[in-house]
Amino acid sequence: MSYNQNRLIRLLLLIVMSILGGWAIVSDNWIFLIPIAVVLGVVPFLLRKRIKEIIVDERVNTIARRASRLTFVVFVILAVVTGSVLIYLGKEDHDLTFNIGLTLNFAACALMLFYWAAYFYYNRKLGGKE
Amino acid sequence: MPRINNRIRRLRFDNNEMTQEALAERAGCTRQTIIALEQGKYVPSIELAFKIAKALGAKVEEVFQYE
Repeated sequence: MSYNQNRLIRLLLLIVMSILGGWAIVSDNWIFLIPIAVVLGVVPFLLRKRIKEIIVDERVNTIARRASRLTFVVFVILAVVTGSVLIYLGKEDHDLTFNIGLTLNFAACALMLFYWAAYFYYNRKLGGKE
Repeated sequence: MPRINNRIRRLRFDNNEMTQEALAERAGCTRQTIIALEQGKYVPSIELAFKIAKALGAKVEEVFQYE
C-alpha cells in the first residue's frame, strides 16, 4: 500500500467516523462513541504499518524536533505574557480573567518542568552522565 | 563557515543514472531527503552518510567532503 492510498483511506475513515460521532452525540447515543474512538485509535495505527515505502527518516525527525522546540518556546512565551497581563487586569476582582491568567501561567510552568524532566531523562539515557 | 559538500548527484549518474527514488530506497530514507542533500540544504547523520555511500558503491569520503 502506498502512502497516498493510505492517506486517502485514513481521510475517508475520519470523515465516516466524524459523521457517526456527530450522529451519536445529536441522537444522545453516547455509547456509540466508545467503538468510534476505538476504531479511530486502532485502524489508523494498523493502516500505517501496512505502508511499504519509507515516510519517516532522520530528516523528518529533525524537522519534527525543531518544530516541537519552536512551538514549545513560542507557547511558553505567549502563555506567560498573556497570563501575566490577564492576572494584572483581573487582580482587583479575582474574576474569570484572573483565573485564565493563572491557568496560562501554571500551564507554562508545568510545560517547562516537564521539558526539564524529559531533558534530564534523555541526557542520562544518551550518555550525558559521567 | 565550514560546510559539508557532497557528490551524490554526480555519483548517481555514474551509477547507471540511478534515480533519487532508487537511491532513497537503498539508503533507507525518503526521496525528499536525497533532494535536500543534493541541494546542500541538509547534512546527514554519519549513519545515513555511510548508507548513501554504500548504496552508491563508494567510500564515504568520496561522497562527502568537509571544507
